[in-house]
Amino acid sequence: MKEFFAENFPNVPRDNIETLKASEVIHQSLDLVEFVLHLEEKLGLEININTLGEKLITKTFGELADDLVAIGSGSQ
Amino acid sequence: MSRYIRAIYAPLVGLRLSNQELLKTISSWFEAIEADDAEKTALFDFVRLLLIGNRYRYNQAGAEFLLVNGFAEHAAAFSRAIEESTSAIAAEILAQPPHQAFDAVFGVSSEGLLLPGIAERTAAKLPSLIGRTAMQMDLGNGGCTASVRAIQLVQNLSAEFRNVLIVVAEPGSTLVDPKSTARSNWQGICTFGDGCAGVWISDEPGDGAVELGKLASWRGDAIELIRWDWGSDYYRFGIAELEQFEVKVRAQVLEAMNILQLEKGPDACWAIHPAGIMLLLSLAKKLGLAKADLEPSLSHFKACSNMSSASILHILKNIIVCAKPGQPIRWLSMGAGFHVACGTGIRM
Repeated sequence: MKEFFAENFPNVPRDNIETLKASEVIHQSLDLVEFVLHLEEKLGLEININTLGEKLITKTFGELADDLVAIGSGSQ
Repeated sequence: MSRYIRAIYAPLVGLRLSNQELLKTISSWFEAIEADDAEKTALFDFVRLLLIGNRYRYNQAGAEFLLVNGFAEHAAAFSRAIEESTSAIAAEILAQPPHQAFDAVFGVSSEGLLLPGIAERTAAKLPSLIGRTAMQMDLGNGGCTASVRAIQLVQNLSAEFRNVLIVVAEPGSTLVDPKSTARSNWQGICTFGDGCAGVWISDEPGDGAVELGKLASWRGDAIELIRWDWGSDYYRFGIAELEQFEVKVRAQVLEAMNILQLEKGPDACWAIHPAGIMLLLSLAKKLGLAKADLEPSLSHFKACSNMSSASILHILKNIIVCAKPGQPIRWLSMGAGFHVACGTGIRM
């Protein structure tokens, strides 16, 4: 996540990224999709936007990371 | 025998709505809808996710489309939309009429039924171009691939059909089920825009024509993946297994591409059905297409959203205008069935 934001949103502070929500940083659907595709590539997962659903805009990146771990381990 | 796309007619019909305007309308509606507060909040967050950023769509059901109530109002909205669409396409044709009459007219729509059909209504608006003995027939239930499969059908007609008109009208807004809290219903409302288009296929080339090459289609196993569900008082957009939707669509399209063997072509212009940005970008990645190849489809999606089978014709029209003589053109569409349809052509 940090890598994606460093590359695409250099103004976003990287130190406390886990406390931010994606909706506070990402305002265009294309960027949101790029973010999901970046996660897919780095994690080797196929992520359905509907699986994460509204969590993508209501949860913090830290909470999203927990959800991604759950998806990766097959428990979600 | 060779056939050519001689012209694409792509008028914009209906009221233009931005994501922000649609979100505001939905927000007001959600205040009135009867549902559990937590369910409403989660659904509204889902809608917010679908409407992130700058995107527009056209809506033929009017500004108060969420107030449509009962079967008759839905069917009447569909009828009005068809009338508006066929009039707009007929006006574009008459602005630059072909020199020969059409031997056949095919109407295409998946959102409703009406008698007389789209083909007859179009013919009545173009009496000097569509004779009483011309074949006039509607093709229904083809989903987002219907227009390109109709072109494939016309390519394979016998030689007596020299000039054929396909008229596509996809007023998705007439399917809206404002009383439902089903997520697929709201995904449909936020994803689709209304659209129409016409395409003239001829056996003679002409200025700016595209010679049709190999056209093919494939139907996968996911027959229920995209479908019409039965809503409160009409049918509505439905998805099987919403949570796995994108992954399944991607898998079906990739399977189809392996079978259909659509050549990428290094200098080809691409029209890809804008089913959604996630699907477009991830498919492009897996098919090895550059992001620049997606630009016509992404631009269309931002300006008009997903107009079902009318979208690919709007995108193709823009590509054909910009393509150089001799440049290959490719198109790829996917939708209910689950169908994948693709084609190749050369800009004359």
